[in-house]
Parts: sequence; structure tokens; C-alpha cells
Amino acid sequence: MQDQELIRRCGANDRAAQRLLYDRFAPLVLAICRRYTGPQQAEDVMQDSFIRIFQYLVQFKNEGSFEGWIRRVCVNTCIRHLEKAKRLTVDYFGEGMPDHPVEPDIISRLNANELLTIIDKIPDGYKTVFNLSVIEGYNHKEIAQLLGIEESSSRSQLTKARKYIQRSLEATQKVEL
Amino acid sequence: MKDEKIFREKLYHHTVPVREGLWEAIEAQLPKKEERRAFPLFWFTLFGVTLLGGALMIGLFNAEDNSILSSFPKGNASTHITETNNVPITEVLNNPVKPTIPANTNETSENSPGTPGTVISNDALRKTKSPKTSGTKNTNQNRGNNRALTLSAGHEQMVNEEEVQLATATPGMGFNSRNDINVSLLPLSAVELNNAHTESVFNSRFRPDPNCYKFAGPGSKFAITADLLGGPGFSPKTYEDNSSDSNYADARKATESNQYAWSVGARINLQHRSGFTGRIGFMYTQAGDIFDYTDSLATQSTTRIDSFFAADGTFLYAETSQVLILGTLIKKIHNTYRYFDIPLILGYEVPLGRSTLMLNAGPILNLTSSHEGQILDPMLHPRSITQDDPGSIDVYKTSLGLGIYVGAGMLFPLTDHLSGIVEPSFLYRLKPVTLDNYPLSEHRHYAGLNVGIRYHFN
Repeated sequence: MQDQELIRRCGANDRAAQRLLYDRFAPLVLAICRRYTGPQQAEDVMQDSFIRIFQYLVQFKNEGSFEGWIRRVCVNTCIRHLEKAKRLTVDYFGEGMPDHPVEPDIISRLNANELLTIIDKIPDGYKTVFNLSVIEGYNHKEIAQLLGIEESSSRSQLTKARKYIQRSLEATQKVEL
Repeated sequence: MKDEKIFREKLYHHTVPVREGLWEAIEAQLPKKEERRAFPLFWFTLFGVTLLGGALMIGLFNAEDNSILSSFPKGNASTHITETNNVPITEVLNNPVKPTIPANTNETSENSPGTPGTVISNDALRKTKSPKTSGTKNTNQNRGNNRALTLSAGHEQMVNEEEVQLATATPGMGFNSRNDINVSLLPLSAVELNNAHTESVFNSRFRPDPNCYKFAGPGSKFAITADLLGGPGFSPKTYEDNSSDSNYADARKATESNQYAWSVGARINLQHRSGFTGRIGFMYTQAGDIFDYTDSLATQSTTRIDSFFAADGTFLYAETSQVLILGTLIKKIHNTYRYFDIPLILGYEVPLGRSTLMLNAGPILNLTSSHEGQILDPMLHPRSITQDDPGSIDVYKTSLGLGIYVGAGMLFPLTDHLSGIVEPSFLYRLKPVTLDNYPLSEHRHYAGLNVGIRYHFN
């Protein structure tokens, strides 16, 4: 079924079409939710995301890709969820964070699940900025708008997130050695 | 970080297997399949048809009652009397009565209704006075009896002859539940003959008399009446995208729902004796919708200006920043649509017992229409449709042209000059209410149950 037909039928509350859309996008949506909110909350946020997707599907303007629109709704739902849980509060680092780069091969050797495990260790505030910037490709202006923060805050949080990841990768490197 | 590309490559399209049962949890939270919007229309139509059917039944029932009376043979001047007690006529004959029936059948039998041969006893008839057919008043008092008598006035040359004629119910004529006696009274004076119009006065208690069509003036073929109508309704609407690749119509359907509709109107009727009627008047219709819009991805923008000053109070510089707050925008707006129409209707009215069945159809010309509220624009942003509102979008026509009005109703007599009207009606607008160049065609019709009164000028 074409996307447009699927969207039209979903908008008309056609349950079979909604199920089809769910089957097609659920693994992706769950992965996004998992990345932002962690494994414990991922399924709950995924349910919220789909309810919003079906609710606002009629507002999809056929501008840009449908998958991109679903990603956006899902990311927004994750951010709302984190805001509600007050998990976007940022704790600044203390001293002593590593500044030297880790070996690049380590990252390329890690699979997606291992990378997710590393991301999970980042505090939610930094993790959200990292996800938005590095994975989704938002620029700092967009992130600032999305999170209601200053661009400078977005930049600094990304830096902190990177440092967290470096530390995690260093730990991984040491274990391998 | 140089390795960030690896994160993106490995995680952007990353998927996670979904466990069973999650869909059921989502489905349980989804709204139920939307009810058909035509549903209220169905109930409305059913109500109208039931009402009309009930009125027809009542009308037919009354007409059936009258058919019994009208099946008696009529002389030049006859009076049908329905009488209530065992004494058939309380005030009638002066002269001796010569029965034309066998003496042994010469008794009133109350206990054998419908039995042929039931007659008025001679004694009973002898007790009565006055040959005049003045029994109308008395029989009025006695209405409700299960007997019917016909008093017929005959020719003048038959003066002094009186006969009581057995005209009892004949099996197969529908009189089984009555003792029916035809009493021919001969003679009657010319004055009495002239008084024959009492028949129609009397009959009018049972059914409209076509010879005395009260709504027409004396000697006039036409009658003028005025109707005042109003009532609740339902305004069904349809949306159709003008281009096939648009989902604008779906978005409009999802965000707008019917709330109420009503109409009032008045019309002048020129009614021909044949039953055909021309009507002209005005009709004001108002429909209310609810525009229900939620945008979970809405942002609110706030401009923040930070001014910096030196210790001595000198202004140094100002920093302006835009703060966008993520939020959900919820709009629940009552939209109002108003229409002012001129109906030009041809009607036909059929008397049914005491009531009158009325069928109406004809063109209806929309003079003007207006609208207030908000709808989604083609870019799916909420926009005002209120005329003269800043930023409003031009969507609707201000004049809709022709429509078709169809209605069927009943008239119930209330007083000499007033009748009650119940008229379910449907107004179908031929053209869309949206502008011709608008990317969506929206049709709005109206189904209503009009209740009102009619004033008879004649």
C-alpha cells in the first residue's frame, strides 16, 4: 500500500491500516524511544508516540518524508516524556574528565546495542542533546528551539555528552586490553 | 568527535524487535471507529416519517368514520344524525308515522348490533314532535351513540305522507357495529329545505366539507394564509478534495463536527381550491460546528531582551534572544454558519379527516450567508473564517444561489383562523458553499423539523 493511501486510511480511523502502519514503523519507533528514554520506559513512550501519530496523522502535510514526520513526532514525544519526568535537568561535570581521544577503532568495532549501552550511561540532559545533534542531525539552533534552551547550552551539553562517551569508551578500551 | 558519524550510521536506522501485545495496548487507547455522521439524520428522518405516519393514520381513521355517514342515501336535503341513546330521535315528528316495515320487526334492538331489520318503534316515533329536521342540536348533545339516522326531506307533492323507511345496516356495507335507520321525513317546508346547509355545519365536526372549504372566502377560488415556522434541525455536510493527492478533506472532517442547527421562517400562501398552493417567504438557518484542533508539536515563541549596564548605569548593549517553548496547542472553537433564503414553493394540500396533508417542494434562493470561527486552511493551519477578521481566510461564498426545498407535513385545526403545522423538511443546496477556486468543495444541507402555526385570513 502506498504511503498516501495508508495515511488516508489511518486518518479515517481504519484499524487495519493503522495496524499496517504500526507493523511497518514500530521497530524504528521503539529504537528511537529506547535511545532517548532508556530500555525501561521505551515501550510506554512508544505507545504514546503511536497514539500521537494516529491522532495527528491528518495534519501530515505530505511535505518531506513520512518516516521523517514519524521520527519528529516520536522525538517530541520522548522529549515531552523526559520533561514530565524532569529528567532533562542537567548536572554539570566535575573536574577530571578525560580530554584525550580514544582509539577510533573501538567505536567501529562496537555494534548498535553496545553503542546504545554507552549512550544510556549519559545523563538524560546531555543524552538528549547528543541524540538530537549526532543521531538525528539537528543543529544547535533547532535543538535550542526544541528544548527551550539557549544555543550555547546546547553546545556545552553536547561537549559534556562527548566527554561522557569518551570516558565510557576508555573504560571499554581498558577492559579489552 | 570524528567518530560521531559511526554513531549515526549505526543508530539512525537501528530498529528494535517489538514484543507481542504492544499493538493491543495501543489499540485499546485509540478512539473507536467514528460513527457515521448521517446517523442523526437517520433518526431525524425516522422521527419525521413516524410523525407524518401517525398524523396520516389519525386522518384516515377520521375519514373512515365519516365514510359511514356519507354512505347513506341522500335526498335533496338530508341530515345525518348520530344519536346517543335508545330513543332514536328526541325531537322530531308531529304527525303519525306510517311504518313501511312489517310489524313483527318493529322493535328497536340494541343488543343485536348490525342485525338487519332493526327499526324504530312506532311508539317511540309517536312520542316525538315537530316534523322539522331540527334534530341537529339535540343529536349533538347525544353524540357518541352507536346509531345513525338519516332524515330526508322529499318532494312537496308528497306532503302529509310520512314514512319510516328501514334502512338498517346491510351486511357487507361496513355497518356491523351499528343499528342504522334511515328515516325519510316527508314533507318538509321550503324553509326547511333551505336549511339544508345545516348538514355541512354538522358534518364539519367530522371532516372538512369540500363544499364549505373554510379557507376560501365566499365565492373565491383562492385563499390567503400565512405560516410561521421554526424548529431544530441537522446540517449534514460533505467535503471533497478538488485534487486527488490531497488529504485536506480528511483533515477538515477530523477537526470539525456538527453541534446544532435550527431554522425559523415565515411564508405567505396563495391557496387554490384545488389544493395547489404557491408559497413565498423567508427562511433563516443557523448551523453550529465545533472546530477541535490539537497540535502536540506546537511551539510558543517569546522574545527576550537582556540589557547590560555598566556599574555607573551606562547602557552597554542589549542581547535579544528568541525562546521557543514546546507545548500542545488546543483549540475548541464554536463556528457559526448563517443562511438567509427565499423559498419559492409549490405545495399541494389534501384534507385527511380533520387534518390536512401538505406536500411542498420548490427552489430556494439563498440571498446571503455569513460565517464565524476557525477552520484548517489548505496548509492545515488553523485560520479564521470570520469576515473582516484580520488574517482571515476567504473560503465561503456569501451567496449560494439555488437550492431545493422538499417538505411534507400536516395541518391540524386549532381555531377558526389558526392551524398548527408540523413539517419535516430537507433543504439541498445545489452548489458548494466554498468558493469555486478553493481547493476543497464543501456542501452543506439542512434537514429540519418545522413546527408552527398558520393563520387563515379568509
